[in-house]
Amino acid sequence: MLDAEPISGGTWQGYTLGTIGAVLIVWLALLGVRKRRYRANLGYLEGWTSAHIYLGVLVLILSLMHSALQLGSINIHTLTFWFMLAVVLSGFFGLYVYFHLPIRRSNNLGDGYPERWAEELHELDQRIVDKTELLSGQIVGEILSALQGTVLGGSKWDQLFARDRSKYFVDSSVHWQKNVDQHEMIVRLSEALPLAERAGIDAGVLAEVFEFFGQRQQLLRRMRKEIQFKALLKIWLYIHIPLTFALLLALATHIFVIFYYW
Amino acid sequence: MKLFVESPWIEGATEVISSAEGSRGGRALIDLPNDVLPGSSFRLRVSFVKADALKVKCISGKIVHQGTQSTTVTVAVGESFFVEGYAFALSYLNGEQDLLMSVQPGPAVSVSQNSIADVSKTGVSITFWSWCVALLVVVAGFVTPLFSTVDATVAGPYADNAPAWLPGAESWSPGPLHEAHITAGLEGECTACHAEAFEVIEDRECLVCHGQVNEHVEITPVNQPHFIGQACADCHLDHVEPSVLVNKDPMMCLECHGDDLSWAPDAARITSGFLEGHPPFKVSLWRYQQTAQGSGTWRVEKETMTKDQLLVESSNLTFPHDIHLSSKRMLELNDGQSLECVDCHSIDPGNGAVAPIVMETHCEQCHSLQYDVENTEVSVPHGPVRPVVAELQAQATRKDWGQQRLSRSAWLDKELAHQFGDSGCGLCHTVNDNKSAVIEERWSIQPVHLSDDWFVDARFNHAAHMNIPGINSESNSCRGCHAADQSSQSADVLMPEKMVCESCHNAERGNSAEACIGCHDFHAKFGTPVAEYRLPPGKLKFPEPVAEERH
Repeated sequence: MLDAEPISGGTWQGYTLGTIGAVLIVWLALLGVRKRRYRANLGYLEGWTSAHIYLGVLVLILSLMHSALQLGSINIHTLTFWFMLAVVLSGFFGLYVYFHLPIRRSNNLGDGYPERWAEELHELDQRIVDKTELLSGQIVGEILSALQGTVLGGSKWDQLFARDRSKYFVDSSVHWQKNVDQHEMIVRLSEALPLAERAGIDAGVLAEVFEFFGQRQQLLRRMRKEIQFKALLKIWLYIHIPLTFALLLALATHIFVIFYYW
Repeated sequence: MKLFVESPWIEGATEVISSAEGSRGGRALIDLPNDVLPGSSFRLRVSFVKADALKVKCISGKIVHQGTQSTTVTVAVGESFFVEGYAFALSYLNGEQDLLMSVQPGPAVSVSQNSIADVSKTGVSITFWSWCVALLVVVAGFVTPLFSTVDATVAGPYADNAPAWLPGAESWSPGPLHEAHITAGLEGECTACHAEAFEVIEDRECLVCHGQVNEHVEITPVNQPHFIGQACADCHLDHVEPSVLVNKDPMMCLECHGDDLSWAPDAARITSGFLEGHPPFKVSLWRYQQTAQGSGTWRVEKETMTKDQLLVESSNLTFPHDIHLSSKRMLELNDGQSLECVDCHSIDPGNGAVAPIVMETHCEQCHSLQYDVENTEVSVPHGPVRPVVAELQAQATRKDWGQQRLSRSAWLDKELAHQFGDSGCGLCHTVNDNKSAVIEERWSIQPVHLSDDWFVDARFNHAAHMNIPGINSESNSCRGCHAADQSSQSADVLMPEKMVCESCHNAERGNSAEACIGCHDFHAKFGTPVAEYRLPPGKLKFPEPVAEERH
C-alpha cells in the first residue's frame, strides 16, 4: 500500500539492487574458476575478463545504492561493503598495471631475452673469476665477494620496490658493506686502477674486470626492473583474491542475518 | 659422526659438531663459530637430523634452499644452500663417516641461484592468506554472533562466558538503534523485537510499549480493506542511518490522499503536500442548537476559512480583544499598562498548547464579582442565575437598613437590575430578560462555550514557533499570527489563514513546508485504538473480506 518507505536496503528497490549485486559478485568470483578451466568453451577468456571489469564497476555502483550510503557503523553488513570496495579497488590497481606495465616491460626488455639473462650474468661472473686468477692481493677478495654478495629480488617489498641488498666484503675494514647497484665496487675498481702498476697488478686485466662490472651493472638493473614489473603484476592479487573469499563469506552472512532478523 | 666446516678464510677443516656413533638422531647443537664467516651478520645453528642430513637454522637471516626462502631447512648430502651470498655445500668426509660443510666463495654460485625473483615464493601465499581471512570472517562474522543469539541452554557455557572482544549479535545490527529505543530491555536485546528467527517483526512486539496509540482512522467494515496488512514496521524502521523512526515523506500521505481518491470521492485532493493543493484551513466552531423544549446542545462544526468570508463564532461571550490590548483604554484600570496576550493565555511548555481561559483565574482580578461597595467581602457566585439572585436576596436580609437611604426591596431591585444589566453579568454574557414577575425566573444567561482548539485535527506547538524570525520580529510574537489588537468582537475568529503559515513554510524551507505530519497526526485521536484492532494477533476487529481487492 505504501510505497514511500524510508530509504534502506529493506525496500523493494533495496532488495532488487541487493539481489542483482549478490548474483554479480558470485559471477565475478567465478572468473577465477573459468580462468583455470582451459578446456571451457563458454565464451572467450578475454570476453570474460572484459565483462569482469565492467560488471565489477557496476557492483560498486549497485552496492552504494543498495546500502543507501548507510555505512556509518561497523557491522557484518558494512564490512561486506568494505570488503567489496577493497576487492574492486585492488581490481582497479590490477587493471592499471595490466594497462601500463606491458609497454614499460617491453621497453626494459629491449632486444634481450629475460630467460637468458641469468645465464648471461653467470657467464659474465665466470669471466670475471677467470680474470681474478691473473690478479693478486686484497682486490681479489673484494671482487669475488662482490660477485657472491650480489642479490636479486628478495622479500615481497624488495621485489616491489626493486630494492638492492647487494654487498661486498672489504678486507681492510673486515666487514660487509653495501654495494647497491654495484656502485661501491665500481668506485673501488676505479680507485685501484691508477695504482695498479705500483701495486704490481696487471692494469690491463683490472681494466677488463672494470668493464665487465659495468656490463654487469646494466644487466642487473634490467633484471631488477623485470622482477619489479612481474611483482607488480602479481601483488594486487594478494588483496583481490583473499578479500574475494572474505567478501563471499561476509555476503552470505549478510544475507543470512537479514532474514534471521527480518 | 662429526661435522666439519671448511672455508677459504680458515686453513683446514674445523670440527663443529660431534655426535656419538650409531645415534643417528643425535641433536648436539652448537653455534657456528663466528670467525668461520668473518664479518657476517648472520649465525647458523646446525644439528644432525640423520647421518646424511643436517637441520640448519639461520638466526637473523634467511636461507635460500631449492628456490624457496625460509629460516630453517633440512639439507641432505650433495645439496647446497645460500645465505647472504654465501654458498654452503654438504658432502661426505673420511669415506662416509663424517660430513663436511664447505662455505664456497667464487663462481660456483650464480646470482640467480641465491635470489628470489618471484613474489609468490616469498612470505605467505595467496592461498594461505585466503584461508586465514575466510576463517576469520566465518568465525568472527558468523559463528560467534550466532552463538550469542541462541538460547543459553543450547550455547552452553559459551553464552555467558564469551570474551567481550569476540563479536556478538550486535555485530549483526545494520545500524544504531533510535535513541527512543535505547532503553533497558531493548538495548542489546535483539529478541525483544525480533521474537522469532526468520520472521518479520510482529505488531504485538511494538504494542508491548506502544499499546496506547490509535489507528489512522476509526476502522469500520467499509474502510477496513485499506488498512489490512499494514504492520507497524512498514513505516517505523529502526537501525537506519540517520536514525529516523518516523517517516516524514509526504508521499506516505499522498499515496492515498493524492490523486486516487476512489475511496472518498468528496475528500480534498492533495497534490503535493502543503504548498500545492492543500485546501483552506477549516476552523472547528462550537454551535449551540436550541431544541424545541428550550434546552440545547453544543456541537462542533468545521467551517472553511477564506480571506473573503470572515468566520464568526458564537460562544455567547462578549470580549473585545482590542480594548484589553490598548494602553489608552486600560489607563485607569491597569496603571496605564495594556494587557499582554500572555497575561491571560499561557502556553504549556510541554505540548505548546494554549491553556483554556478560566474566569476565576484570568478575568476576576479586574472584573470583580464584588457588588456591595460597603461590604467588599461579599461577592456573587460565578455560575447559574439562581445562586446569584439568592446571594443578593441574602445580602438584602443581612444588611443593616437603619442608616440606609434605600429600602430593602428598592436596594434589591436596583442591585438585581444592575447585576443582570450591562455592567454586571451583561458585561461579558448575553443576558435574556423575560420581565417575569417571579424574580428567580426573570433572567437567563446564554451558555458560554469557548473553543479550546480551533484546528482539532492539526498539531501546533506555540512554544516551538516563538523563536522563529518573522514572528519574533513583531513587537508581540502572538500578534504576528493572531490580529487580536484589531478585533473588537469576541465573535471574531482570530485564527491565521493558510497563507500566514506559508510566509515561513514555503518552498525555500524545503521539508518543513512539505511534511504533512508536521501538523497532522497519522495516529489520529478518533482512530480505533490499536490495542482493540490489532490484538490479539491475527484477530482483526472485522473479518478480512474475501472478495474485495486489497488496496
